[in-house]
Amino acid sequence: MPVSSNDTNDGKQVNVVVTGRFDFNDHTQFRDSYKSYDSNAAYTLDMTSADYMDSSALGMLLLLREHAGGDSAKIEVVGCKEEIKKILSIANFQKLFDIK
Amino acid sequence: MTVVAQLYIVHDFIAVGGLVLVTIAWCVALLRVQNTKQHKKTVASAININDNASDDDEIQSDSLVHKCVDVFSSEVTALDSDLQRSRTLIHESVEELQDSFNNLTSQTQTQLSLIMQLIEKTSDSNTDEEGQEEGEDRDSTKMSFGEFASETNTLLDFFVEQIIHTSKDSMEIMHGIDDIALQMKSVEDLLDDINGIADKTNLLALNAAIEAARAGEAGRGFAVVADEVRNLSQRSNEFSEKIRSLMGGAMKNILDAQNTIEHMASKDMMFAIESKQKVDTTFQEMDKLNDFISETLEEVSSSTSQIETGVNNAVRALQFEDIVRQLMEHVEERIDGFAGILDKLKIAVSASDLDEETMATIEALRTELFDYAHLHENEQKKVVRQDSMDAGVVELF
Repeated sequence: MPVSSNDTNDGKQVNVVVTGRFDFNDHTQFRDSYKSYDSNAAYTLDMTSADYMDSSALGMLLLLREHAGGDSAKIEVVGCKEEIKKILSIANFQKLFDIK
Repeated sequence: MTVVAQLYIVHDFIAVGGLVLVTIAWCVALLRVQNTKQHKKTVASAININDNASDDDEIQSDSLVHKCVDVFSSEVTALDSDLQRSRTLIHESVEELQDSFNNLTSQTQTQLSLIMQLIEKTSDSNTDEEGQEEGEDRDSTKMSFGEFASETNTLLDFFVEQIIHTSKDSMEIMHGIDDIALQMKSVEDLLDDINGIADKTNLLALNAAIEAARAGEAGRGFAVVADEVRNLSQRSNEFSEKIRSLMGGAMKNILDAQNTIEHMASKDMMFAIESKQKVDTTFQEMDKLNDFISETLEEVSSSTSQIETGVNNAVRALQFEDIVRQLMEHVEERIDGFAGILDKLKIAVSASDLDEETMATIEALRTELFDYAHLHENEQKKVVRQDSMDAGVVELF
């Protein structure tokens, strides 16, 4: 559940780490992790320790994308487990995010 | 008929008749010479006549000749009849075979067309073609299996998108609510400040009242003002308490809203994943089925085609019947001619003198002739009597 973030390169590269279940209860923490950055930064979403996403998590990702500049957003999603990949795929998120 | 033609016919008759006449003349001459009882007996037994006194010579020779002609006649008739029966049997059998074969072909054609109809009803590609040809006539409520699977996928994608967008909007509301909560916190802090100010005002007013009391009569007016200020500060605190409690109520409502939003926003996505997998599997199965149908159809087509070829070959082979029938008809004609001659001979028979050598030859021929008659009489009884292919049983050897 916990979400944390850090940045490098003078705020130009933001790393957001999600662990455990990524769901509704993370809404405050997740937003807090990127709130102070803007659309100039490149974001990396580290899902290595995440094992579940529900629709609210997907909604939150969309909000992050909006915050990061919408169509010009630079967001990478890394370390996805099989379950996570299936969920992202069913939502057709490969069109919106760079999923590795 | 012209005289010339008649002459030709007569010529033919004479040619054949001549041969027969010679044979019969030999028979007659031979009988005249015969004297031995044995011979007479052989003759008699062979040709079934009375073996009475020899002055029956004339009568014997006449009846022998007649008997010869009769034997010939009956043989010829038997030949003709056998031939006709054969010809009829063959013709009928061949006709039945042809009918049977043609029926076979038409049945396989029917089978093929039924299979084609079946495939048309269930195959995907055919429905597409129909749709393109008929244009506006196409009923938009019907679809093939493939289209159905595709439609399901599209529907699934649509629902998933709806869910995610609802979740996104819900989360956005949550963010808004978070901001409200923060702002309400700020208001609370301000209320605290107001409380602080009110408390300080209260103290100042107290101090003012004390100073006013110290000033005595001159400070009485000031004392009243100080009192009012104290009241005001107290009322200020009361108001800020009311505001605080109203804020508390609002906060509670907001938290309730958050719970409702959580229900709206948190949907599990597994249903969609499972559905999609099922649809994908169905697609694959359909592809395999279509391939199988195509292959099978090809095999059936090829099989039907082979049957047709086989049947054509058989029908062609049966054409032998035509030629055989003609040959048989020719033979029958010849036999009829033969019979005609014999009839004439029956009437126009007369004996003539023959020498010994000729007599001997006639004797040999006569014996041969009667043996022949006997032989075929016995065989006739053995031949399977059939008038058509339906009756009778074939005798197996």
